Amino acid sequence: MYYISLYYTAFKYNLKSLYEYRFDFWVGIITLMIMQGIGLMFLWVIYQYTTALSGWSLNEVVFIYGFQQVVHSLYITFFGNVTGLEQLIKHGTFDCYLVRPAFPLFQLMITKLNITGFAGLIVSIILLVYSVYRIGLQLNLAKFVALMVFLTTGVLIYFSLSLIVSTCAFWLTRTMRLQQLIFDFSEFTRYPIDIFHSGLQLVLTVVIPFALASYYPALFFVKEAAFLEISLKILGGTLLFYVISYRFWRFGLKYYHSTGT
Amino acid sequence: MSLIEVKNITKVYKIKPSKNIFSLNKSATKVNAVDDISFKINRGEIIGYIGKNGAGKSTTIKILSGILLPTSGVVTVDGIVPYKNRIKNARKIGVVFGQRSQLYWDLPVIDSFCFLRKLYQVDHDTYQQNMNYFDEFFSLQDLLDRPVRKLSLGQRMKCDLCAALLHSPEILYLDEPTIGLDILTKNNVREFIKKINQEKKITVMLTTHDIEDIEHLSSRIILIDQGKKMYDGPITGIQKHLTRKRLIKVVTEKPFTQVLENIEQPNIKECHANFVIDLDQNSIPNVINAISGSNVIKDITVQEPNLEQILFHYYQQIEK
Amino acid sequence: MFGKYFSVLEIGYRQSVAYKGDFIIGSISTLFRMMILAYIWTAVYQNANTTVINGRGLIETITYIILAQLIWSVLNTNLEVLLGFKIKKGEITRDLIKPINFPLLIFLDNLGFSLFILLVQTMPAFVIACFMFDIQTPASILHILFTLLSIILAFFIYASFSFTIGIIGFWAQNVWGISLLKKLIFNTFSGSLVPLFLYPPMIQKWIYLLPFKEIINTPLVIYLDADLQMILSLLGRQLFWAVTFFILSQISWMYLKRKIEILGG
Ligand SMILES: Nc1ncnc2c1ncn2[C@@H]1O[C@H](COP(=O)(O)OP(=O)(O)O)[C@@H](O)[C@H]1O
Ligand SMILES: [Mg+2]
Repeated sequence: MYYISLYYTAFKYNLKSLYEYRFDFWVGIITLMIMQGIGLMFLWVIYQYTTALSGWSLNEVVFIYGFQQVVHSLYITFFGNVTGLEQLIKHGTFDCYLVRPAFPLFQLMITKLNITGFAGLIVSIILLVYSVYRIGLQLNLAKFVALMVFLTTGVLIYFSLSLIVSTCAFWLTRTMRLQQLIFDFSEFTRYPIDIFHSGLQLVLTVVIPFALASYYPALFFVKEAAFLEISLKILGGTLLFYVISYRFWRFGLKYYHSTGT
Repeated sequence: MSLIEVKNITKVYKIKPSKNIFSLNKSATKVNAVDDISFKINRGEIIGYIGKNGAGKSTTIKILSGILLPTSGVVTVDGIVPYKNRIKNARKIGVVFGQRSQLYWDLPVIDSFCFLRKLYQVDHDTYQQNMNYFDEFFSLQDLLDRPVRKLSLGQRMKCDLCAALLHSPEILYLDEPTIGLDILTKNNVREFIKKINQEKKITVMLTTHDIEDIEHLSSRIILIDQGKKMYDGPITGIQKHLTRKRLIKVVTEKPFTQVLENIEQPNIKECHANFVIDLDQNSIPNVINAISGSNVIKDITVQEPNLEQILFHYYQQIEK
Repeated sequence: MFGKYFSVLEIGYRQSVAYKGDFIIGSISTLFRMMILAYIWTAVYQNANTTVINGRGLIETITYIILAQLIWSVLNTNLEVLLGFKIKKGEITRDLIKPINFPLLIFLDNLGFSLFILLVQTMPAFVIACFMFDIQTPASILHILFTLLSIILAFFIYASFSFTIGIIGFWAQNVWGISLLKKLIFNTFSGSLVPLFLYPPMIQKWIYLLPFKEIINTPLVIYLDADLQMILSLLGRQLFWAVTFFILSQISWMYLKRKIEILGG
């Protein structure tokens, strides 16, 4: 409860903070929304010349694309600040967090509002809903719950990977580029990964498992792959990466407590 | 029992020679930033924690406030070990790091206050009381609605100070709170610290290398150098320690070129010379005679050195 | 005469050497983008059961895509952000004193940076991509030279445009949103994301009316197949846009200069 109300308060002020630069703010928001539309247009152009890519139709690919975008936007909205740890340490602001009576990771999360994620969320939800409708996917209660669960695990995967890289900031001075490198992989998972080289597919499933956050859920919802196998993969992978990342974060924090910067 | 008890704390930093991944095998050098320091602070005291740059002041503050773990030794703050029970300790303390702000850069000051109020779960009455109290002293009203980025350094420091006190902490740690401020603001800030110490009974520990801070604020100082505690006691003590010294300023007619015996570190600029003599080894008439033997003294003043000069002198001694 | 401009260029280059670690990652990012697009279009050609789409074969398409990423990664430096920094930190008053046309100064500063990016970030990605995919070799040396010339013109078009965006950013107090918008427009209409010939003909018609195609599509059309006469007319059109945008940047610069002189930087 304490953390929820704290989140809300921070949200309010962060929004206000962004709003200081009104004109640019709105230009940016609208651009971000259009950008996601452009992604859709890209898919549409592709499907002018073919009806299926490795067996995936346009609407099915839009589902993957939409799913990935929802997950990514949620991640940016709620956890995007994790990537800013490097800056906080550099400017010493992180010390201020450590002398306050709330979890440092939580304070890190609410450093500022990532409106980029928020704007993206609106469009990507529309995309996802649209594709569900076009595919004719029947969302009964069970499937709806599964959808929510897989969105959550997807966000957790993104968060975990990002936290692992950000935590490196306790040792390295710069992590932004590394972060970018890791998240470049997520761009592959906006499309059915079957079209890529098999080695790359393996990397996206096991090493940097962004595919677990969008492609595998789509396999289940669109291609009606076996639920048990898919969900085991997704839940197992998510749990594993979440635990690793949180442990690593605690380890990094301990290291910071004992060395400072 | 004392409020803050520090027993034999040591902090060793390992410094890697380069951040390059390819040179990990180079051995790290160790720095004893804090070296076997012990002290006790009682409720209601103002402690001046002084030392040169790099003496280990910030490190000590970080350990006391729970940010850093000491390599060895124990700290208890009101019965709590800060680095073990960080959150519990955090509710009782306020910390200001002189050069960084914890306020929202783009927002009016009041917003940061409201956020911190939520974070520390300060109830409405306490918050109002505290705000009125701060406002009375600093006239915050004019500042509260301005974005932090548009405040001057002094105004920001005042706001940061208040931000750290919003939740009525028992202890206030200030790491170089007056750095970069002009004289008027410095005075203002000092008065404020004194006032909250007296009226609210807040224990204050401030680090500084501005000696005037100490002269205004604290009756007790802890002097550290290279991580070691050199002195702990009333200011008058350290003054007495060095009262056999005299600072002599001479203005001569011809450029001053003489080498004087038994005199440390003369500071010479053409016809002006400043030096400190030790009355146990030398006497003022002796010095005057020595100088006027080959030069003409146009002006001379003899002073008991003030704290700053004493410390300057003290540091030089330590270095030898 | 050109010595002073050259030294600016050199400093831009030197400054960037300091960040060499970043460029390895930048290189991988570039490669990834080349790969994603190339794989997707390969799959499209396969699934469409055709060797030619809108008159172009797969090899031509992949050549276009990979070279487009190459050009884009070189051009796409955040000049407007740099300008924003200079204004905010007051560095600009220092630059005002220098006896150099300011927009040109910034362009050259950026060109040094771009060349460096090309060398350490884009080229490695390009070489690897060449091993992974079939790429059409240029028809003649002359085609390479004309393509390079065209890319230089593209650089000036893009730099002038970015500069103007930077000034708008100054007026709006922040440059994040507008910079994003600029990228969006260029990504969509220049050919960096989708080769322009792959858009449905109906859309192509409109896109070709806009100037944004000049920075990527034009150099690549020159590279892929243009005959001499067409090359010259393409370069002529590019030059026209380059001059137009340069004048635009000069006008916006005069606006900024007046503002700075009034506000005192
Ligand atoms: N994070 C760190 N890693 C390594 N060495 C450090 C670190 N922080 C401080 N030091 C070193 O420890 C010593 C004490 O530093 P500090 O406590 O900041 O001194 P002060 O605050 O008195 O100026 C200095 O020699 C400094 O170089
Ligand atoms: Mg310090």
